[in-house]
Amino acid sequence: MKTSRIILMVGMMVSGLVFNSCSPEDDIKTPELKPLIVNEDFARGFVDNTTLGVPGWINIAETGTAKYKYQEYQHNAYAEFTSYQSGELVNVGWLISPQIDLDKQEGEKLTFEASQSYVSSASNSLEALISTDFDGTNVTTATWQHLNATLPTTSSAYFAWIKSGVIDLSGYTGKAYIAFKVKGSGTNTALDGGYQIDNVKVFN
Amino acid sequence: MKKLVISTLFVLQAFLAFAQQPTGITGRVVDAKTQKPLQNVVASILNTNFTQLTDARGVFLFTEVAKGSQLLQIKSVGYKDQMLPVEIFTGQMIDLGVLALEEDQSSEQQLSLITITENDLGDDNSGSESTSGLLQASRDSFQQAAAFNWGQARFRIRGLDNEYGTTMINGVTMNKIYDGRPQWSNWGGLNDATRNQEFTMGSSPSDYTFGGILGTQEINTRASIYRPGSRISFSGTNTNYNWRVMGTHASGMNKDGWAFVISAGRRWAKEAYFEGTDYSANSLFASVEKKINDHHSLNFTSIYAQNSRGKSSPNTDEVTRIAGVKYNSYWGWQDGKKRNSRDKDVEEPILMLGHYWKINDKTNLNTNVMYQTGQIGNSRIDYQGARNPDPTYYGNLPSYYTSRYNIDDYSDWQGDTPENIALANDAKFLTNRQLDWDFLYKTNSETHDGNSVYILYEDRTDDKLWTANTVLNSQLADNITMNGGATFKKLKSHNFQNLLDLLGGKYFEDYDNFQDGSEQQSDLNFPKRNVVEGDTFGYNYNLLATTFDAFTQFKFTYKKADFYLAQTFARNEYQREGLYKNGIYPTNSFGKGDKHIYENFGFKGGLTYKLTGRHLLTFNGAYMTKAPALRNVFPNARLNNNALELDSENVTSLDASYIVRAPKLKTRLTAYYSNVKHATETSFFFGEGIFDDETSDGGDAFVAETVTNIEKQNIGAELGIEYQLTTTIKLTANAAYGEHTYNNNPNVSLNNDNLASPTNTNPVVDFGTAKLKGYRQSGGPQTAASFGIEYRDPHFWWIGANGNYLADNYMDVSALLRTDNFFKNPMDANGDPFPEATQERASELLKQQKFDEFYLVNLTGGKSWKVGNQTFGIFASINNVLDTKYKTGGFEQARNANFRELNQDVSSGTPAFGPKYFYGNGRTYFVNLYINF
Repeated sequence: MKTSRIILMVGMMVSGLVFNSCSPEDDIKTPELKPLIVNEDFARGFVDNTTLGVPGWINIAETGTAKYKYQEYQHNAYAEFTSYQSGELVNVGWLISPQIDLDKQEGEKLTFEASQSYVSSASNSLEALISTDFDGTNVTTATWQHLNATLPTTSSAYFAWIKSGVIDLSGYTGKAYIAFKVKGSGTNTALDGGYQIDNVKVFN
Repeated sequence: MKKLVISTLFVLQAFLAFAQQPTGITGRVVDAKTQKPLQNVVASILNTNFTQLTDARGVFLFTEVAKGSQLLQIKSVGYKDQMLPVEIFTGQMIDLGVLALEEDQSSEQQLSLITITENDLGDDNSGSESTSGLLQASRDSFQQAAAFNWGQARFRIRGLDNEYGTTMINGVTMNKIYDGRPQWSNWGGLNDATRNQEFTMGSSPSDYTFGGILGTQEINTRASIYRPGSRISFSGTNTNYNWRVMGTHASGMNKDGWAFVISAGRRWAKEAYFEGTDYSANSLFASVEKKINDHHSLNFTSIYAQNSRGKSSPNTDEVTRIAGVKYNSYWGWQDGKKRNSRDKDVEEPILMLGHYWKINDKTNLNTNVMYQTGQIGNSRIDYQGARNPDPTYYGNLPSYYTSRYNIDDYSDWQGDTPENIALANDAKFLTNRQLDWDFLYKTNSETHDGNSVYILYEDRTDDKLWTANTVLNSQLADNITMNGGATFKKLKSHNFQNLLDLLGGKYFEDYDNFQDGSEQQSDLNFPKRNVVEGDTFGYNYNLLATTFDAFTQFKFTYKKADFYLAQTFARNEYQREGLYKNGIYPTNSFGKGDKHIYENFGFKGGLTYKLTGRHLLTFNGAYMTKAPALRNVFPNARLNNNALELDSENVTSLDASYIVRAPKLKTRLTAYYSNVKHATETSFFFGEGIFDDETSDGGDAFVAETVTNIEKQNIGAELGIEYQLTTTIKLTANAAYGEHTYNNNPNVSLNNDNLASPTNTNPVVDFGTAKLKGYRQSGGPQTAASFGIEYRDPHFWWIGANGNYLADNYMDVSALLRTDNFFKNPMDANGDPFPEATQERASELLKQQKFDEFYLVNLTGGKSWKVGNQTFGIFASINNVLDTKYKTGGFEQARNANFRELNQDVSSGTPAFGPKYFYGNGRTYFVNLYINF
């Protein structure tokens, strides 16, 4: 009968409208997040003036016993290496990033900030390095290449952050590590200055 | 929707035809119980202009009626409507004989409908109620369930806010220009005097207005249409108030053509359902009509409703866990009494003069002039350089300590250290849960010069509103009716801060201690003022609005189908006039700002297709543009003339229904779709970590948030079934299922007064879009079902019970949290994201909270007795018999406005800024005793 057919049609329309539409929750998206490959502010695990232990980072004393420490200024945490009062003739310290897979994306870049305190000689040096054959423990057997970063010099103001500039990492492939290597002396007062590192970022 | 009931008495009617008489129809209406004639019952032939009131003998008589099938409607307040199909033959006067009207129980039940119309959700100073009151007094089974059974849980029909409905008194729109919502308190407590009501649902046509897409409610106060008689009632309850008395007398039309109605009501409570919520309301109503001749009548109505009540606070889960569901942080002891710091006072009398002109048998013109003035005040405590007196201030709560993190290491939760646990166990709130009035007085007495650092003030809105409108109703042909109308409104709304109580101090220094220098001054024209009680301070401005709208509507009635078409045009003009020259905005706060003009139009149409007399299909469609509400145009109206360049809202609504009107079975099944584009929401709050950290305050600021270009989409279905099982037992089943969502990603911007400068007079920061698409709209359960049974004894007593299931009620989500700013590290110079941020964690943190589903059982019953000429009656109801505790709503605090702060707060397990919730009433009762004479 015509009437019942119309009723059926409307009924189907209604139920179709209500029950066949997909769940609105499926549409929900979070705000846009572009996570950096490395984004380290040295706050995790912070205890002031103690040996730095940021998860994933490697803090090694190649020569001597001094290691990078946590420091803060106005609640901004950073990493610092100094051989001041180590009592050792030579201090060589490494701060090495977690492993970065440079094959996962294209066009990686590195930025960081560094400053110095009481550095008066070029031999009391900071170097920014990269290795693609570091095994995660033995720094001396790995091949380290210099990165062309703007670094604090002996004439830089103490504790004044200097931006590294954007360092192109796209020429490197494989599993890489970024390192900040400092040389100094705890017995030679001309070589017992310190270096501060913060906001290490690798992005593309 | 036609909410009409076909009379079960139909079979009793005698059809007597007399030859050689005029073509027409007559009948006599009596009370089914007392058999007394009923005067002033409205008899009308539907879809025509024939409307009459019965005379003192209860008789109505229509002549010159068009021949053919007609529907006669008999209705009167307090009685069930009757609908009688009548076949009219030329030259015959059909006498329907005696028509007995039965008392309508739902009209008694309406008197118990308190919760939905008189609570307001949230800490909103707009003065209007945000819950739906468009539900009362309807005859539709679904709408009754929505009002009586689900209203207490804040169910909203079709998920639509009141601003999409139109509430009228005598055809004059009562929705406020400020926010588009009606202020129910303006006629609260006058239930008997405002019982003459007509409803339409959705976009279906009203005779008085084009209306919105939720429906219309028309309250008619014309004195001659009230049934003569008196009524006194006395009620006791434990909901919003404890006691109510009401008295009403209607004279009926005397032989000199005069009729009057007077009514008075009082409602009060020392403490209502929630702690510290006192209540006091007095209402007076008078309406007088003079019939000048058969064509002209004048009616004058005055309504004075004064309402004062203490509000209750929304609370976090932590506060509720410690202090209970009924806890209210707004009150404190003073001299052995509970004093609430947040009172809402409404006092806005209405004066209305109406002219009724019966131009001829087929055309009526009703013209009204209304003047409304008065004040709305919302009080609260202000403090200046002193600590926040709110007992639930976050620093007073245990969570303040247990949600702590190492200031240098965001990943280092310290809430479980012995020190913090000890501090949490000693948190102030655990021992001092209420506002400490004595401390405020003591602090004020110890200041350097006796000036108050704590004051009680109110945000005041004093409106003066003139309205003139005219509504034409004309039968153009046998099957064509035309309605038309025009309304003009002129509003001057004075908004200011009014000092209520110096709390023991001598004066208050009117300056903003968060600013510096001249920016501290609220009024550079009169700087450095010391103010006392009754003085205006802080902010002071007028909102000016002039609106005009007009509509026409044509209704066509045919044997197989009825249809209608309507169109409207509206013009709104808004302007702000600053009365203070604010120190932060010296160049754009004082004097009149620009005029903002919105011109809008709307079209709608619909069809009722009669499959048979008992089976109908109806379709309604509407498209209109709608001016933004006044409040949204001036987002920072307290301080400056800046306005948002808003588009008008685009509103679309479609619905389709299948209706059965069989003698025993009445069913309606409706599917609906509505879409609102370019909607705007504004709010104020204190946000942390929102702005770049330029001043080392972590980017914290008190801000006004504006969300524009919101698209809301509501899709769903409604089902109402009413089945008369036997002559005494009626069964009802009703259900609603909706998906009411945000359908796009709207824009978010914040106004930050701290960024204002001589060169930046509009310090608005654009936050881009918020990812809101797919989130549910807040505001009541989107799924509801009800099953009810009612037994009605022939000896005038009855009892009913219903069980209800309510679900899919969602949290009001913060738009700001869902902008890209969420991930942005304010400490990072490049604006790079927080190192610890992940999409997965963000999804968890931003997941919309869905409140628990719950069941409600309600019982109602009543009995009435006839003693001599008087009727005594009792009505009683118990709502939520099982005393179920349930959340009716809640909102996210946007205070933790970024990933790190929200992640820390939530990860601590005891968030300090968790969402705040509103709770429904537990078990409540309402008992009403009345006498009609």
